Amino acid sequence: MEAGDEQLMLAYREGDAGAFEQLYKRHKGSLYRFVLRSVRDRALAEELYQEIWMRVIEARGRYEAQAKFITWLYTIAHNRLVDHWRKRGLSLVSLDQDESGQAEPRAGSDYEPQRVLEAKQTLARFTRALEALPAAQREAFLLHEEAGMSVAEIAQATGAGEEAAKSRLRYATSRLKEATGND
Amino acid sequence: MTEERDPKVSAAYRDLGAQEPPRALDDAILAAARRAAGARPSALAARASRQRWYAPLATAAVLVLAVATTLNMRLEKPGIESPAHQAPPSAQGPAPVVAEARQKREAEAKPDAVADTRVKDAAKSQSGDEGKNVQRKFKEPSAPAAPEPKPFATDRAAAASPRADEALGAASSVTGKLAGQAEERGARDAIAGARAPQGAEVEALAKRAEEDARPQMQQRQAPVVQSPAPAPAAKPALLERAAALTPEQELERIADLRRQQRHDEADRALAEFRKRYPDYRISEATRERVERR
Repeated sequence: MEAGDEQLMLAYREGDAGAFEQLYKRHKGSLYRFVLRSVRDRALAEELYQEIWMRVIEARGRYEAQAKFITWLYTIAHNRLVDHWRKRGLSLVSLDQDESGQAEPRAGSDYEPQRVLEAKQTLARFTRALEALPAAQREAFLLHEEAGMSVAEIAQATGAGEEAAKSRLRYATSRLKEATGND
Repeated sequence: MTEERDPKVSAAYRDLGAQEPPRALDDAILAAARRAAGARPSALAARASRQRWYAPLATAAVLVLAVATTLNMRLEKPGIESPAHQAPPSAQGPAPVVAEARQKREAEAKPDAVADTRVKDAAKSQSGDEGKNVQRKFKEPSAPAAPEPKPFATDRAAAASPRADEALGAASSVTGKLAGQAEERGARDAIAGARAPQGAEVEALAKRAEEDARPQMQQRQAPVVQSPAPAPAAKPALLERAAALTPEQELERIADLRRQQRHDEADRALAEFRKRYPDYRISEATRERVERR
């Protein structure tokens, strides 16, 4: 039987580096994609991703078993992204507004999977729709899809109210649904 | 909140691919984690595998201990509780040799055909050095195998024997009974001591025999016997003899007493023998030799 995330994190807190290794293997992909699809820049995503894990390592002594590890991890990620947005003069609140008219999604090899471009226009539309989502809605959607979080957990990780989290997720899903042609 | 999840949207999202961080980034993060943790990789995994073995290992250990303890108790118990039932190998060692010698003597069967040594022994025993003679007589054929019970038997049992003999000599049946008990206990301890005369154990047994005998003797004999106990050398100690002899040897000694017409002593010794070994089966041939006719 595999140890739970919380158990592993507590073990790591007690100095067990092997526990961290297991934990990292479990969550590296989803966290990386979450960051990558949030900032839409691979280099920046890698930098932020590493900083998030460094914060996890530094904050291990403050980790309490009451907190679900995944919520704790994505709270750290969210906070790091907020810092990033603030540096850029943006905020999640402003990004929560409809920004579809602000800018076209940047096209680049990192953000447009080759097979999507080649094979499925629908998927291309989906990608563009995801990238076009307001940051807060996209974050809610990515937390839901990548981290498997419920609305309550999204609210907890992002510091938003449950209603706000629910609303963001619903809007995001609705727009992406339009992009896939599922009206 | 599964109502927020749309399967087709989720499927479309999955189609975007599952990008992973570069290996170099993984290594850097894991290295940092190890440094922070003080470099103890895979300790949890090792602990988990250890934990899988803990329960069966502990159960097995408990079972082995329980079985070993039970066996040990079973093996040791008879030796402590009733040394007469199962004499240990060291005490049993001389028995076959003695029995062989006895059979040989019985085959010869004629009173006038008694060996020279026996005549000598009989002569010596009449001179009062009975205990030593009996010991010597039966030690001779079995000398190589017989352990040396003398240190305990002579030194320790003799400590209790003067009082026991004194009690036996008294007219009171109460004191006689008590003396019998004390003697029996002392003899049993003495036999146990002779069986395994190991330092502290011998000391403890001897001390116990002495302490057991003393209060009862002093308390109950006081009104009857006022005189001090006779010197140990003056009267041969029954206990000393009993402690040194196996049941077969004891019976042989009684038979000798009968042959020497010392029937009172033989009766007393036989009574003591029956008290000490209540479940010992005396063979028909031996019975004819030890019982008064």
